[in-house]
Amino acid sequence: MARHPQGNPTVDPPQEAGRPVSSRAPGFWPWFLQRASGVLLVFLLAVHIWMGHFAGLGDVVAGRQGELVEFDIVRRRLAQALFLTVDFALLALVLYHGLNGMYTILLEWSVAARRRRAATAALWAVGVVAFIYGARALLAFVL
Amino acid sequence: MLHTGTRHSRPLRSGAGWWAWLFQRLTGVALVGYLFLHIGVISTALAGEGTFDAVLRVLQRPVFVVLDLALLATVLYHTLNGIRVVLLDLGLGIRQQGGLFWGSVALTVVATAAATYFSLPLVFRG
Amino acid sequence: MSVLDALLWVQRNADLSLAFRCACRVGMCGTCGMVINGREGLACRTLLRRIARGGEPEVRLEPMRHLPVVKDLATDMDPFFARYRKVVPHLVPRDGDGAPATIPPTARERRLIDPQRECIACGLCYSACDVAGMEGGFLGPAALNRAFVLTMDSRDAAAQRRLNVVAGEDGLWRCHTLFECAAVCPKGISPALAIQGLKRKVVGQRLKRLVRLGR
Repeated sequence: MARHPQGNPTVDPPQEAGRPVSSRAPGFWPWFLQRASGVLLVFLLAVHIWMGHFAGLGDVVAGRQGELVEFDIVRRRLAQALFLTVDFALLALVLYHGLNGMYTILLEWSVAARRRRAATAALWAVGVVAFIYGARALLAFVL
Repeated sequence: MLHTGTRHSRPLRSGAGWWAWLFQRLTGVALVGYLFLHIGVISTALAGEGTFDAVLRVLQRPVFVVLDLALLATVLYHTLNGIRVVLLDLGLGIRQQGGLFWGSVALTVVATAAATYFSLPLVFRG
Repeated sequence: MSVLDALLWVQRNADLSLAFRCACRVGMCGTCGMVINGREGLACRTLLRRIARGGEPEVRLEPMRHLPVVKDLATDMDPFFARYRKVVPHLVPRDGDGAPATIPPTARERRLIDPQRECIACGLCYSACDVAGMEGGFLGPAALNRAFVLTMDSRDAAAQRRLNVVAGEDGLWRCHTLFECAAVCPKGISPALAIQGLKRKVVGQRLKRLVRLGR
């Protein structure tokens, strides 16, 4: 082995055969949830994009419908519990996935890496405010 | 000629995994930016049906249809490479990671081309 | 003629003050790692002829990345080994009757470990890993590969302690699967493969624990 650290490595006493991974492994959950939310988003986003941009395409081209997205069309869609649920889930998941991704990037930037707690708090604040704002916008179609 | 020094020349990166990561970051940041724009646009509904429809009419002009297609390409790449990352984390296709990256790029191009074809009437109408 | 031969020639005939490191000269010790025309490699294993055949008009040598430069091409390996040491990089034997343990050649554990075992800790993967150069002290490919080899070894008693280290914030989760480590390894190892293996092991443990907590 190249340039081995000075001296022989100290031999540690055999220990703890079955202790699970420490709960202070703070990198795991953000990493895992980024993947879990990403996989869920694949399906939800497919529905979202299809309904918003392709489902009504034939009607718009044939002149049976003015625009792809109109207040009344969205209102009728969100009156169905399924689509309302999909949109709320999308809002929450996409905010988590996006801001958690930003957290990963920030951790690799010295200024934020030295202020992990502040970075986490700031991103949660942005996420909560954006969720409330977005939720109000969605409810404007159903109330 | 021998150059030595602490400042490195531009990293010579040609690996698929490196490009996959770079594009994943760039598309990710772009999509976060778009997300806030999107929430902003939808929340014009709070000002009433008339405002929402007026704003959305502008945003469905041909130039925005083209921008929507660029957005679709961004989402598609981020999604397909994201699936690649999850597969790699599951231990699947690690040896084929380069092929999986180029596959993601190819699928993005093909799907965007198809979506463009179907959206052409929106770009060229009235 | 290798890049190392050229360096020795320059030192003898042109510039006595030129600093670089080497020892075995045959690709075994991992001492002469450097950045050759932008790519990490061992000077003793990189032939000038092959560089010329690749169409490159000149040879540009730089010290390894993410490490302090002592002089010219000699880097201070301390940051690399400081991270390496964190993963308990040696076998911790189990208590037993003192009889040597055997792992049959057909065992699954041997198939997992063998391809990852030949690491000479040259640091080239660390230099090629962009994440290792970023903020936050990512343990890096070599240390995580070492952790994988020992953790998968049934004779080792420190697997859990090692997993606690690699599952930390500066461990596995910082690997963004760039695969540059595998591309530059002079021994043909894919540290990325080992890192993905460790990730799966930790994910399995944590999800099992979550299920236990749920019950």
